[in-house]
Amino acid sequence: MNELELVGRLRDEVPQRPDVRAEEQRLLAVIRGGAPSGRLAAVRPARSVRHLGWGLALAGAGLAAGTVAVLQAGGTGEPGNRPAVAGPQAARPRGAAVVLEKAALIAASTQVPAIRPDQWVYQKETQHFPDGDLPTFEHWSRVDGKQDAIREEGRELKVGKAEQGPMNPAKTQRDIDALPTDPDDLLAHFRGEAGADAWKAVCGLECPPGTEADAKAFGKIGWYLKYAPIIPPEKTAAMYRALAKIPRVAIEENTMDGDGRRGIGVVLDLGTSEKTYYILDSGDYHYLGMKAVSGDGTIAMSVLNSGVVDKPGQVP
Amino acid sequence: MTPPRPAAPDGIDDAAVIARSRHDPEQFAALFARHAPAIKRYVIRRLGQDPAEDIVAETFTLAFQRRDSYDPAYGDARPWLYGITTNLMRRHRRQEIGMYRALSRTGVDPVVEPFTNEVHRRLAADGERRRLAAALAGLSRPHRDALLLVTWGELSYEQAALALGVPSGTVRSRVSRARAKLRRVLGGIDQAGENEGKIG
Repeated sequence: MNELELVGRLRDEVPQRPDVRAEEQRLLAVIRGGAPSGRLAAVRPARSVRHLGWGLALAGAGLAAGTVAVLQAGGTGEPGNRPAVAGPQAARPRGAAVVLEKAALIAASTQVPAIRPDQWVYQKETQHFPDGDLPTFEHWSRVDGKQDAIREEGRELKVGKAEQGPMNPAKTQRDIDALPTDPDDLLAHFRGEAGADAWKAVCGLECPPGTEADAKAFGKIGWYLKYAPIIPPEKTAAMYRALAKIPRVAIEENTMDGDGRRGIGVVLDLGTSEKTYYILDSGDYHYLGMKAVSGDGTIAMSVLNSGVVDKPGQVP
Repeated sequence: MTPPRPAAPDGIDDAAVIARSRHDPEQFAALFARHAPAIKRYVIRRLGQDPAEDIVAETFTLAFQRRDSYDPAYGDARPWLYGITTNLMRRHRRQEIGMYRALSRTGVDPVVEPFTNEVHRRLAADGERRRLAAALAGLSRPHRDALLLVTWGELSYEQAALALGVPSGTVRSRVSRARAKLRRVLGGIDQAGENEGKIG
């Protein structure tokens, strides 16, 4: 191997396509005249977003964000038989295992609609930050991953080519199809996946030592619950069961989301100053939103509406 | 090694995107979508995660503000963008060198640390990488810029020359001298002259 090849291999672990949504947001702010040309840093919530490791807040910026609605757990499932709490859960806070098992049972019995490649998945999302809200936006993503569309509050609908990176719904759907359905396998998969997805961890690149795998698994489950076009019932159930197996995951009943709705908080506390919540509907356990609470304030993003439609611009 | 760059939609090259953005500024976002991930990766490899967001955001903001001066004869905007990025990275020269030195001293690379798991971390400490990092720290800035634009940046000598605003012969000689220095520091992993001139 010559020296050029050695240089070429050095730091090749850096992801091929790093997350650039924060930068995109900053550029769009300048393009749209919202920012002075000199000091850019003031115009955007980048610290929070990068810290979170979620691109979600930036999806509102438009072109590159291929966000997709969640269709899982859409029905009003009947809790039915009492869930059996299985496995070595004794040392865990009792709440998480019981509540998430119930969520899993409901998800497993919920019909997922069939959708066509030419249909669009829809989602309406809010974005709240300690230093102010970003616009609420609606997003349509063609199921085949070829196009997406966005409408920011008070703006025109924009339809464009879909981004082909990690947020592309067709790619997300392929990821989903490849996931194991056994909760232990699923958790191992999410915990062990290679580094390129590090940004999906709830603490991004700043997780306390030893918590990275948990943060990654928690982050990815939330990411797929929110962004996957279609999750088969048994995989949604596996995701809830896998969540329950992550150490330091607990339940906080009656948690408020960023838009004043109360639900079941699934919270990961890594012992840092920040706690990350997913808020699930207390009836059918579908995903309502997330929030991250720290000394700096609360970041919250809620899904206000979602579903499948035939055209961008339509609302379920 | 790298995934194919997204094809220009409808066969439109960068120059055409920039031209459109003159009357429809939002078109410029397409240039961002095309090139920002690769540029960010380049910046992260040199400086780590921390300053990369600012540098990438500022690269595209400056490019946007200067889009009227873009020479439409160049269909590929990468040399122009990498040139802006290179200038912005100069402020961080000490940090860059500091991280090569840290890798060379400890065998742990602060740049890749956030992206690797425990097993990789343990494997990372091989002597070759440590010597390579020491050699990179020891290069002059012009030599390092030229070398890394053609390796990590994946620019041709001609493109790197455009980015750096020097003749392509200058880039060629800088890369060649940088390589010679790396070989000396790496000490014998390369048979003398065997690969000289094969690449580029």
